[in-house]
This record gives sequence, structure tokens and C-alpha cells, in this order.
Amino acid sequence: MREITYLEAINEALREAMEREKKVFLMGEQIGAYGGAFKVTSGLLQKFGPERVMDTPISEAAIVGAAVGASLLGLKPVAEIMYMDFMPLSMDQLVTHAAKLHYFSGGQLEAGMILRTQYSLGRAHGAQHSGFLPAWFLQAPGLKVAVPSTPYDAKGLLNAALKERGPVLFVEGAMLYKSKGEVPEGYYEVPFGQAEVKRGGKDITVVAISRMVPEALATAESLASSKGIEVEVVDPRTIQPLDKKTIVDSVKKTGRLVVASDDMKTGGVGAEIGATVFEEAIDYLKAPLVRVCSPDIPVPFAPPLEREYMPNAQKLEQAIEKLFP
Amino acid sequence: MVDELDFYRKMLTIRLLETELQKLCLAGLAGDLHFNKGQEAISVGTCAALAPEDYIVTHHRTIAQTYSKGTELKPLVAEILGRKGGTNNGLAGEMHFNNPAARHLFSFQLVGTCVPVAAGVAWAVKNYLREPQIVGCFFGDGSTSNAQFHEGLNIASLKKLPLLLICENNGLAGNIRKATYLPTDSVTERASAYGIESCRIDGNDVLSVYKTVEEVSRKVREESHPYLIEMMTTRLCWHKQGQPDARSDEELQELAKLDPIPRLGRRLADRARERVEAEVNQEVQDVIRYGLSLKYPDESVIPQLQAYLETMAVKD
Ligand SMILES: Cc1ncc(C[n+]2csc(CCOP(=O)(O)OP(=O)(O)O)c2C)c(N)n1
Ligand SMILES: [Mg+2]
Repeated sequence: MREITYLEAINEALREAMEREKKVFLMGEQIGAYGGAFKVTSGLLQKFGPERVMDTPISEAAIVGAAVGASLLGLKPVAEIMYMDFMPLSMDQLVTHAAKLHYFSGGQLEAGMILRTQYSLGRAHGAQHSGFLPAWFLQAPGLKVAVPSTPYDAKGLLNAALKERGPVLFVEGAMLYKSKGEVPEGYYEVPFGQAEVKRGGKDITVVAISRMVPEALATAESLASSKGIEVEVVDPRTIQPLDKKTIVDSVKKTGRLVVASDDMKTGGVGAEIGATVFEEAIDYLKAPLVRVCSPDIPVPFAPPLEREYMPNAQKLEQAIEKLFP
Repeated sequence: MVDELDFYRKMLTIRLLETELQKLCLAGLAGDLHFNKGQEAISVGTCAALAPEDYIVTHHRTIAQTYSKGTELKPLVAEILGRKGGTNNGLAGEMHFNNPAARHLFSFQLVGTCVPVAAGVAWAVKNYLREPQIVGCFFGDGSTSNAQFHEGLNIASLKKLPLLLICENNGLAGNIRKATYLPTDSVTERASAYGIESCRIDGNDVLSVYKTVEEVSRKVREESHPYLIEMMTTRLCWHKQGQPDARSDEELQELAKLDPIPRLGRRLADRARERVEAEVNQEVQDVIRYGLSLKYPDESVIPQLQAYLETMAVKD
């Protein structure tokens, strides 16, 4: 199969969706002629024109508010928020309003919209342009959250997201934009709430999120050859809904759980995944839960400090080795 | 005091510093930098006209303001390079400059967010410290689309806060042009909507910037109310590293004719100007060499920071 980048896969999914359905339109800051701060929407203005590719002012609250309004009349807005750190500026519309409308109206209203954003940890962008903050969005029933780690998942999840009746937060990893992988031409879906076992293994389960998925695969490769430890890497792909069954089944098999994610440890996605396993598979655990995440401080700017701050394959490997003395 | 040679020295320092930093950016040795090339007159003229005790609160394009408000070159460059000895020991970076000792409170990366904070500082100065300082708040024209800009102006007007709003209007928001984000001719109309007095000036003429800020800040200080100065300017460089300029080379060449530095330079005597140029060049080369010689902060600082965060919340 042909290989394309993560960025190209998202661009292609957007283009195909707009070709398929007139009601899909894009909005965001410098997404038009400029093609987006990261060039994800490159070429789409030229193809679909300014009515369907709307450059907005720097108005995060209004971007998402307007997306909610347009979705109420059946349009499918795909809005881009340049950095995940800017989400708080749109949080009210997303969490307090969009997420609840379907439920409040007894299904009469639908706010089916996608909010694309990205996180840039690892690019020396400083403490207000590096945040990966997915756990904030787990307390907003009605909102779904996708965290694709591969080009295949990115395109498939975006396609599935377009069918949702409520809002979807679609979090891209900027460090993944250039990564390549096999992506089918044309339409397919990766369903929400379906994790994928990215590598099978019998000794330990690593639930990895976004950028940490390729890191976890590298760890698994390394531990298999150096220590003969067989790591199973599970990628939830969406964290709301979370595919508890795949995670729990894996832990029942391996008896050990590590969560690897770029978000901060306390109150992070790893806490939720760990709690789920305690609820449903505590008797199977042979070792304590380990979370390989960012420390609970704002990311330091200095590049060596940022590298030290971030989780990575080596740190994950060391954490796993400790469980196999 | 109007000291043309000093203005020239400061503007040139910023320009040459950024030119060197740009090389480091391209070589992967400096992070995500936003330069002021073409806009130096605004920071230099404004900060010279403010009193040293006045506060400033700034936005993302902030090297010029930081330097103009009195942060020394060495800690400034060290911070930009993320080294020990930086204003914030490499934790903040250019993006989040702050130097309370120089009364530069913070640089707000999320555009528009500096405005309500500046209003709050002005509130504290006026009603709590009861001192004669005013607060200068720098932001770009693109930021005036953000909700917090509007909410901040509204409060500042209602509470008659001594806030000097400096809009650096370069006709761009990042890589997009005015027509995409500003439906009115000028930003001053936005001030009028909140009952805030304003004026618009040529921000590439450092003398006019200085003179206007001197007059307006006297008014703001004595009468206690906000005032907005829209300073028309030209950005002659990229928006930030890694994002190609949306403008053509021809357009940039045309804009370069409005460069504030040669414009002031033409008013100066050749010998004095050339001497300043040689000195500034030397100083910038030296400080870059100094910055690159510094060590990065030690990695062990991370657990220390975590412990610090846990204990810092309460003050006796
Ligand atoms: C709330 C928010 N949204 C988006 C951005 C990304 N961004 C950084 S600078 C910039 C353009 C700002 O334009 P303007 O205020 O005119 O300042 P200029 O860059 O022209 O100096 C944008 C969109 C941001 N920093 N903050
Ligand atoms: Mg601007």
C-alpha cells in the first residue's frame, strides 16, 4: 500500500470529506491561503474557495461558538485551534455548550462538529505552546476525544468523527506530522472507542497515547531483543470513549500495566486508565501501576531541560526493566 | 529626553541582535523566535518616554520591549538561548520574558490576554499602591480580535485606569493580512467604542513615537484614564521561525523603504552614527559569543522545580 505522512493523511481526509459532503466546511486562523500554521490545510482554499475554507480572526471563543451555531443547522464545521494551549479560550463553547446540546434537547439538537488541534511538546516552543492537555476534556460528557498516533488512524478517525452527532476534539501530535505509514486511498473509518493492539506481547501491557505510541513500539523492540521481555502496546486511539475492554483484557493476560503519555502525571489520562484497571482487573496485577508521563510542572523552555522533561522510549524502557528485576 | 543618538543605538542594537539570533535560529541553536525587525522604533520610543517606575506588560513579539525597558543584553540573550544566567534561567525563553526588577511584568504569548492583566496592574497602582505610575500594554493589531482585548478595554474605561494601550499595527496577524481580521479602518475605532481616547501615529518615526507617548502618558498619569495609541508600522521579517513569509520579496523590498533605522540615521552626523554602529556591532558580537559560551541549566533542576511548585503556594 502507498505510504503518506500523518499530515498528508489529515489533509486528504479533509479534502475527501469536503468532496463527499457539501455540509463540511473549515474554519480557523490562517488556514486558507497560508494553509495553516503547520500546513495541514494546504491547498484546500484553492480547491474549495473561501466559503468553505474560512480564515478567521484570532478569536478562539468565536471560532468554536460559530462552529456550534453552524452545526445546529446541520453543517459540519471542522475548526482548527492552532495550539492545544489555546483551547481554554474556546473551552466554554465546547464544554459548557456544544457537549450538552444533544442531551439537553432530548436529541432534537445536534452539535456535530470537529475541533482539530495539535500539541507541540518537543519543539522548544515554551510553556504556553507545548501543552498536551487531554484529561481536561474527560469531564465533559457529550464530547469525544481522538488522539491518533498513525497516519492510518488519523484519516480513519477523522472520517468517523464526521459522523458523530456531538462535538469531537481531534488532537494531533505535531511531532508526528512527518511520520509515514500506510494509508488506503478513499473512504474508510476507524471507529471511536476501539483500541488497537499495535504490538502483541505476553509480559506487560503498555497503554500508549499519541506521540508515545511510536516510542513504546521502539521500547518493545528493544526489550524483546535485549531482555526477551514481550511488551504488548495498546493504543486506545480515542480516550473518550475509552475502549476499556481491550485494555483490561490485555492486563488480564500480562498482569502488568504501564501508561505512557506526554500529559502530566497527576490527574492525567494515565490516572483514568489505571483506575479502570483497578476496578476491573486488580486481581490480575502482579506489579504496581507505572505512569511514564511529564512531570507536574510547566514545560521548561531550554531544549535540554525540555528533553529531560519529556517521556521517551528510554525512560519507558527503564521503568519496565524495574518491574522485571 | 530626546537623545537621537541613543535612540539610534538602541534600535540598532535590537536589529543587529535579532540578525545574529536569526542565524542561530536557522542553525537550530535558538528556539521559536518572533522578531521585531522594522518595529523597533515603537519599543525604543515608548520605553524612553515612560518613567523607569512605570510598568509594562507585553505580547509575543517582545525582544524589543524587553531590551528597551532596561533588561541588560547579557541576561536577555542568555534567556533567548535557554541558558543559565538568563532572566529566568532558561525556563521562560523569549516567549515568556519577564523582569519585574525592570518593571517588565510579563510577556503574554496568547494574544490579547495581556490587556485585562495590564488593566489589573493599573487598578492596583491606582487604588492600592496609590502611586503615580502608569502601565504600558503592548499588543498587535491582530490581537484586537480577541475577546480579552475587548473585555479589558471595557473595564479599563469604566474604572478609569491609568493604562496606556500601545497597538503595534503592522497590518498582519501572523501570516495573514488585515482584511482577514479587521473590519474597520483602524484600531482607534475599537477604542472609541469603549469611550477610550486614542490617536494614530507613524510608528516608524521614533521621534514622533517618543513625543506622542511623552504627551499622552502625562495625560494618562494626571487625569487617570486609559488611552490607546495606534502605531502604524512594518514588519520586515518572518512572523516566526519555520513559518515562511506570506509576502513576496518585492513587497518586502518596498516595505524596507519605511525602515525606521536608516530613517533616523539620515538625521545624524556621519561620524557619530558610524561610531555608534561600530560600537553596537562589537557589543552584539560579544554578547552572542557570551551567550553561546554559557551552560544550559542542569537537568537536576526538574525535580527541584517540582518540589518548589509544591511548596511555593503559600507565603507567610
Ligand atoms: C490566543 C492566541 N491565538 C493564536 C495565537 C498564535 N499567534 C501568535 S502571534 C499571532 C499573530 C498576532 O498578530 P498581532 O497581534 O497583530 O501581532 P504581530 O504578530 O503582527 O506582531 C498568532 C495568531 C496566539 N499566540 N494566541
Ligand atoms: Mg500585527
